[in-house]
Amino acid sequence: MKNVYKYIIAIIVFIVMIFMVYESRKELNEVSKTYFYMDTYISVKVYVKDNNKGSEALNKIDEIFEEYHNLTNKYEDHEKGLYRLNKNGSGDIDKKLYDIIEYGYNFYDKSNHLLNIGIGNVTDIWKKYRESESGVPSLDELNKVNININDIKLDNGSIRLKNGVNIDLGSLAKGYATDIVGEYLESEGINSYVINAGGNVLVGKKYHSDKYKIGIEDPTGAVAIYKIIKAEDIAVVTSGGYRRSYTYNGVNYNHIIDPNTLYPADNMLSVTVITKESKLADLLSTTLFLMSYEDGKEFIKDYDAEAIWYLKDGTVKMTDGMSKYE
Amino acid sequence: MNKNDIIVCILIFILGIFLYLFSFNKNSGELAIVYYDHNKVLEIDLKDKNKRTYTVNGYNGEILIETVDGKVRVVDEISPKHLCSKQGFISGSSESIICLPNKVIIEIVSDDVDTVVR
Repeated sequence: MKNVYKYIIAIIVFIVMIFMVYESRKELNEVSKTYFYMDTYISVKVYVKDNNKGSEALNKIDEIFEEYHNLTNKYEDHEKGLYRLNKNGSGDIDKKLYDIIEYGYNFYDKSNHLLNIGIGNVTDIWKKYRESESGVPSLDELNKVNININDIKLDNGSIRLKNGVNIDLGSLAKGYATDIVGEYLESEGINSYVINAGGNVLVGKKYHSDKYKIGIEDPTGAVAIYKIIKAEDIAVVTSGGYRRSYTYNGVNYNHIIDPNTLYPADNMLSVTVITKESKLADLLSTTLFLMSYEDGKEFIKDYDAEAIWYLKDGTVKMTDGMSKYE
Repeated sequence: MNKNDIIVCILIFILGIFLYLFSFNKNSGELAIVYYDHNKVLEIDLKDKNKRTYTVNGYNGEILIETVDGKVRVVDEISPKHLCSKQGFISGSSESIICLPNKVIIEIVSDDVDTVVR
């Protein structure tokens, strides 16, 4: 009789173990959607118990990205948006647009005067050449236009642009909107998510036992991914010259323009920044792309952020703190 | 407890560990995901190396997709410039085919990573 009890206990233990394994395997459902805004392909994945709640959130996110697309778009006319501000030099702008411009404007001094949102006139010229692939603008042509950021006058919700200065939010609009979407998801109680807006990645809490694995694309294309970062509740942004560029007479011209030379920056192939906020990661990665690796290594020490540089000779450099994401 | 009991305990313990390990070691590989009008409509497992074709409905009509040897391409689509079929095969987890006129996007995702920073 005693033996029978023993075996019954053994069987119960066995069943409990199977149940525990089953529980540990049970994951939240993934619901995903893609969007096309801000000239880029955006994908959002959320991990939820209730699929309907996930789908509703993804539809709301469509509206958020569309709103930020309209407000920050330099080339399409929208109510209270950037196109109208640039064209008229003043006028009624949306509070949300004001906040983005203010955030970018305030970073100018912090970035050693490299991140200049007043560079719009120069990026317009480069865009024209890039799209027609018809040559390279001369320094004369570039020097004629005004990029003085001090001609942007911010005053309590209203903005005045003096002397024809023109705002370009390409260095932060995607990162900024990504943070807004992340905040929206958190407010809905959806804490596990992956937002990828054209090089701007923001992830929430992990949804199973592993952290998120975020691959970084190889700028040379030799392999698809050259590095994987393991993290949660983090933003990862890459700036690179290998996307949105054109080649003329054998020289590659990318879209990230150095405000000092007025020509595309050519310090490295790509740089990736990892920090809490996507909007800060966006500004920092553009700033590091405009600096030499040596300057950037010192610059980034002032921030609670890590960076990975892919240099032109193929070497990869990292900040010491990167080890926590291995 | 006698010797047999201990053996039974150890066996159950080992079995449990195996079950646990298996539960986390399921399919590692690549998938092609097809979206129409921003919603997922098809998921193709690229571990299957045989040549297979799939049809999805695009905005202008049917789109013919082919997979072979871990690669994906659009064979035929109804669009003005046929940019999608001209792009040819894609492979590797950071590539995508975007057929704007048909509102269809095909991307390759890897089970090994959750997303790729481009």
